[in-house]
Amino acid sequence: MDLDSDIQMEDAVEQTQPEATGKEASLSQFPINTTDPTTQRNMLDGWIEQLSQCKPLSEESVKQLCAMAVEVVKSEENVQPVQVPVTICGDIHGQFHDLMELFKIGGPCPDTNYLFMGDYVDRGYYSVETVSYLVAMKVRYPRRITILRGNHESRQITQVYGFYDECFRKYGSANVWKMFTDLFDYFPITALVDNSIFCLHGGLSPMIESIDQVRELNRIQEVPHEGPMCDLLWSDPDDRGGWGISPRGAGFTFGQDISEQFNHTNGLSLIARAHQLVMEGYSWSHQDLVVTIFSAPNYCYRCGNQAAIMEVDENHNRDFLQYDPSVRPGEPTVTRKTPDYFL
Amino acid sequence: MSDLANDLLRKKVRQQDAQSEFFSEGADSLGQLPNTRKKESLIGTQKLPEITSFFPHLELFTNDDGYVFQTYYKPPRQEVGESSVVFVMHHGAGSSGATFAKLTAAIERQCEMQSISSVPGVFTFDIRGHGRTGLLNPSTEENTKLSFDKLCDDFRFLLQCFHERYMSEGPPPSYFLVGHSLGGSILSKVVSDDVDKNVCLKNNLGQIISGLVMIDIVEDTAVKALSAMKSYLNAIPKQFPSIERAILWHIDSNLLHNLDSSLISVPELFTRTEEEQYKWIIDLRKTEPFWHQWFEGLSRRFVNIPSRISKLLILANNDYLDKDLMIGQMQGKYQLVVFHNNQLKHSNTLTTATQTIPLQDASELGHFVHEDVPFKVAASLIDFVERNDYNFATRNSSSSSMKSQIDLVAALNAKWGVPQ
Repeated sequence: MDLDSDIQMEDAVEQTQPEATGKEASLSQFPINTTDPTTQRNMLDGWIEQLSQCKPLSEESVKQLCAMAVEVVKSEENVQPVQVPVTICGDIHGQFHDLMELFKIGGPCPDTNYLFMGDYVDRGYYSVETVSYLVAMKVRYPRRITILRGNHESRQITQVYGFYDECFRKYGSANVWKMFTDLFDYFPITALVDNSIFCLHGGLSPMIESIDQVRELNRIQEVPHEGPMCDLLWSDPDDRGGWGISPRGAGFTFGQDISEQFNHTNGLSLIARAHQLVMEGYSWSHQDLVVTIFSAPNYCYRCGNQAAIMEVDENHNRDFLQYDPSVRPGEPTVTRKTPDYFL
Repeated sequence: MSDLANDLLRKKVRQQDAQSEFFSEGADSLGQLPNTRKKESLIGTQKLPEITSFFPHLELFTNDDGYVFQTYYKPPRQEVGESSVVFVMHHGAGSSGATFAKLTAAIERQCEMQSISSVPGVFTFDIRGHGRTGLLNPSTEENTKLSFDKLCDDFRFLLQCFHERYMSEGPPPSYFLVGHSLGGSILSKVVSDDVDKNVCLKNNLGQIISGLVMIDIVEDTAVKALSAMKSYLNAIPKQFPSIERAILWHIDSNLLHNLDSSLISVPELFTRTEEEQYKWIIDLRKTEPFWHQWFEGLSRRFVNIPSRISKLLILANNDYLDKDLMIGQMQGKYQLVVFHNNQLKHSNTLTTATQTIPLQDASELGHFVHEDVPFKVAASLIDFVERNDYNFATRNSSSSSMKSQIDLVAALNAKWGVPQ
């Protein structure tokens, strides 16, 4: 798999060329015991190749991958700057084959730049492969793909909604779950595309009036139960004006008046977010000040929804690409104990 | 108590040991001694707990047809003149009001732990044909008429009766309806009918329902379980030689995981025969004609209840939501809390917002999640009320560790210049 021709100098693969002058800098970017940069690149390519066939990495490889990934994402900002053109994606939730479909529809990475807005794990059957793949791509092409944190990238939520169980099932222990959830703490929480499109998983927070306030947060922690960081990952836009109590039990609802104020204050054209299932895969709200993007088709193999991604080109033109579930041999049927309902 | 039952009970108690509140009173005096015998004799002399120690008010409500219902009430505690919060709880098929006894006690304890001065009350009852209600009514025919409509009528009658009896004076309370299993389905239907002006509660009672909580009920899963239900009911023991044996059967077959809870809930399910056997008060097989109507359309109905009434779905282990519930959840239409055995085993990795007393909850949980982990469920219910009831939140905001969400939202809206 030779993708090097399309990689800019700023990318890891270029920086880690043995003859590059910045060799020291590139090594400090990967302060792990193993190998020279070429070996690392080959290792990553091997992992990506293996993962693209939906085969999980060994526990040892996950450990190495997460160690490398921490170094990459921890230096990113709370509001990670992203350049156009970029393709913006919503929830994936362990639907690995649909993620591969997404890359077919949107174009392969790193030819296409991607921005994912969180919720890679839980509910789908391939959370391990999905998050491993995206993290491996992130380490391999750090300037080509941005991965934000969703409310499911959390220790508490993943113990309930499947990722923990899946790690246990596939590795026989919770070690891999721990490695990934420790890594999640470092993920950036928002991104700003060309100072114009504010991207995040959930929505706005009443404690955050300006984007600078997001920059001041300490994000390296488990997703809290309340407060601005929690809100950014949990809130939803609503038809009602002002701030409201969210029926979800976390975050807030915010009305069009709030979006107008926030976008005006911060000179934004758009808030792009995920978090809510929308039947067409994308949905405008607040008179086109907010767009919801959801990238898991037929969510959890039963919701019958389309998925979508949003391409933003050099001229800030937006184009939505919708897609249906990928054709595949069939999902494994997870047998569940029938509950003894009325006893 | 037969010897065998005694042995079984002791064995079980030794297994659960530190978790058992019921037997813990003597624990200190037992100290470190190798005291199996002493413990056994202690258990042998214990009596089963009385329902009145959980619910001070036991009353009979008789409907227009002369059908008599057993009700249980623990009043709320608040300052004079302040409005109160009352949980109205509806048990599922085959259960009884006593299933909520431990939860009721846990709600009070949780409030004390969180320094919440006003404690919500709990009103519950034995539904038609079940528990003491089943024993009070001589007509077996009326006892097994468990059509969905009839059960909804019964609930409307009981809530209206309760309101007139206890709440007609003073500021109106906020009602939070809590239904387990079939109970959740009935409450959703009653709320939904009231909202749609289909069948309304009298005296605008619907206006003071602030929240609806369903415990471990998902339409699709319930309907699928129905096909296995008949053979299941045919297979279970028809009677037990003693109450202790019945309790242990519930524990051993993993229906219940908390012995303390089972000691109060299981005895209410049985009646003594002339042959000194204990048989089920209700034979659920006779209710089969109604099973499908109990659950059909439940998920859509629940999701579509407007947001004025806050909704919470509590599930045990299984987050297998059906299509309607999944879409609703992923659109943020209601709050979902899943209690998972994983979390019980790895509680040290969690930072929970709410304090609980894990020792008094069981280490496993199942369909009767409110019996298995009453303190965790109580904490969720109090959280839910604090978030969604204006008066409760305001009243307790100074004393509670948690902020009043509604006050907070009002202040934030003012700060953002949103007209109120």
